[in-house]
Amino acid sequence: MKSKYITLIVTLLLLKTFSVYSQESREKIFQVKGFCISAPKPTGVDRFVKFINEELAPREVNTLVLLVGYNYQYKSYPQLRDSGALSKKDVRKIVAACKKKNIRIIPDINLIGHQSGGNKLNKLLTHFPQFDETPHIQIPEKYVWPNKDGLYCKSYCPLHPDLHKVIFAVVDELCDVFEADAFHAGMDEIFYLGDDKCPRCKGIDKAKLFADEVTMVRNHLKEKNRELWIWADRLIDGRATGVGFWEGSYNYTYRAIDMIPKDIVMCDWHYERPDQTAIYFAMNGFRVITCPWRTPSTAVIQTDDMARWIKYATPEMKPKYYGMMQTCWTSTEGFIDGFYGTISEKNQKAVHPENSEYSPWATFKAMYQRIDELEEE
Amino acid sequence: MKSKNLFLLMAGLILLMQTISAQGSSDTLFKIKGFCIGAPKTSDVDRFIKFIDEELATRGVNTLVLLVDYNYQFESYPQLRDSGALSKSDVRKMVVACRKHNIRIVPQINLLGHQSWANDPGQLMEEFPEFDETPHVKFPEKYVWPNEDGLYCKSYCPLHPDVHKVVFAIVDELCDAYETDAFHAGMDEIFYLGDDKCPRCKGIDKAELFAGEIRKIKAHLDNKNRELWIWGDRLIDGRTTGLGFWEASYNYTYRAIDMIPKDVVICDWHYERPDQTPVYFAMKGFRVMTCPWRTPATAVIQAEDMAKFKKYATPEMKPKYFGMMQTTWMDPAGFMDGFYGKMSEGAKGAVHPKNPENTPWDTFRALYKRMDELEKTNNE
Repeated sequence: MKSKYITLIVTLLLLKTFSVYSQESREKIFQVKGFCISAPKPTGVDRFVKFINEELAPREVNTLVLLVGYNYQYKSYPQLRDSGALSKKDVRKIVAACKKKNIRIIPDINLIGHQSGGNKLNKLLTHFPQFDETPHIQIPEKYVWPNKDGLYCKSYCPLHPDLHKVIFAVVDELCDVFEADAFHAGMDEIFYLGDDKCPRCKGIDKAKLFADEVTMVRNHLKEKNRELWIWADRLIDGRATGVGFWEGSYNYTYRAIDMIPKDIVMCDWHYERPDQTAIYFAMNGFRVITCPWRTPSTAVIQTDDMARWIKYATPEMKPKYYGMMQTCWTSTEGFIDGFYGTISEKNQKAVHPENSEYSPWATFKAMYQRIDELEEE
Repeated sequence: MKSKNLFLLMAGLILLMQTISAQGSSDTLFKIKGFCIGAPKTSDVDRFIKFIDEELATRGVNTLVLLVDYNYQFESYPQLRDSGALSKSDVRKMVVACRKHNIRIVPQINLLGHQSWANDPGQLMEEFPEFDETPHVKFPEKYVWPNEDGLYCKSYCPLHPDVHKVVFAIVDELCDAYETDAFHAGMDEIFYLGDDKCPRCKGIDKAELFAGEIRKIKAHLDNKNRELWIWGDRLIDGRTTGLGFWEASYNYTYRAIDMIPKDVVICDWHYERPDQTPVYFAMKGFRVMTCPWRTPATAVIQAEDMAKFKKYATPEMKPKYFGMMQTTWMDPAGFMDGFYGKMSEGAKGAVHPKNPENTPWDTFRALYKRMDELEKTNNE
């Protein structure tokens, strides 16, 4: 009887060891298995939590970048709240759900760029117009791209003396409420920077302006042991690489790659081609995550590439290849609708214009299936 | 009768066009199909030419980097000739052979580094000891690595006021003799640079010293419309990438990548792992080729990688992925011995210490076989 128990215990222990081992060895390929989406509206929180439980957790998503911006009821600057913004209680629900599933939340507020969208200023420049890098450029009534001002989005002036007091207050508040040890600062697609008419920035090397702002944000976060994540496009030479001015920089900011701390995490997004740019970031000493969007076949190749780079890398480089993160660029509601087969006005625009089978949800499914296969091997 | 002739003519034209287009597209995958080897001894020239005819040409090799250094009867500085160096007529024979097969010769003299080997100073240091960057480092009687001086090879001082008169004279002479439009300056594994005891270099940013020397050589070659080729290792950060101090730089020269002209051609050598470093060079705007040595399995992956980099690249980046070049690091006699199955003394030293099946000649065969397969798939 006793020996039977011992056998049972030993068997259980062995099983436990195996399962731990197999989990560990599965985790070895992709350190980050990410998902990036807009924070839901308060009415969508419960549905989103259900989605986390039923779709993210079973796929072993371990990182959720939430694009929050001003969709939170900030107390430090209440005027910056979007109308109908998330309450502390809403956020707590999401935090609790993610905590249960070991998903790390990384909230995002766009810093420097993306301070307007279309013909609409965002909350920061609405309430602090003095932070506008290009106040001489008026937002048109009807926005079209391209336009004579090259207006894609407004930027804030990184050298305005009052700016950081405001943005660091909301960043800290957001990180606190999401109980986050990392913050995503956006920093993508910045076209307005070091404007010739800005009394503070004109004439200053744009790479230095960009690097100094990134470094200042990083140092602020570091004080509370928080990590900085950014989109990587401004650090790629758009002309030399031919990736263009969206995915790469056309205004010399790419030289900033040599001027910023190496512990910043790079989210390297490429949606149409499986660009090999992650190698460039890793060789420059950064942890890098490849981020697909809505082309499943590209995402699968990008996943294979990431696994392959890790496989052949030196021990020093292996940990730099940090993983994969699905991006959505649609509302939470629209994504979940699409995921479960409903196409509506909310998510139509996220479907690839050239191929109706290409969508963020189809890509998400394909990429995570490929991740699973690779880790199974 | 007339319509039959016309038909034949048309058919002939179509065939011709197909051939041209097939050649055109087969060139596009690996623009450089290279082979790099020491220049032969005079007595081996004929055998080497036979090898060019029978083994290089048949595999479609289109680029031959010849490590010449002082193995040529220089007239500008006859004191720099190795004993038994190649004559003009020896060189002429190789030039003719290569031209017949459309193989471009790129001769090499090691500039900056590799000015000695073990305890043997090279011809330049021997004849012009004032060019030595580290005259205080004496050659030991018995050379061992590692040693307390960190002496791998001597370097010349790039800021010595007389050094370029000498080296440019022999570079020009060599390029003229080989009738070439490109020169390989070596520039690999430079450990002695900007030495603290050098009255000219001390305190100067080593990246700037390295970049300055490259720019100077490049400007000189530009005058005669010649291209500059170098090994890529000094432009990689050895610490960050974990590639170490042979395959990459441990003395900050890697920052020179942003200080040199983009039309320098980079020969990126990695022998044990299929490192993904060509992407780094291509993204910085350089044409880059991957150079394997003696591990066939690695060379095959490297060729596949190069094809893959190119396949998915933007139109701007595609031409930066320049091709593949087999390196041998031995004398042609030893390589040819090994290639034809004779394990002579010359061949033995090149065999991988951990695996007798890993040799430069096996790698050469495997690499070119894989490149051929990849080009066929590419053209389908």
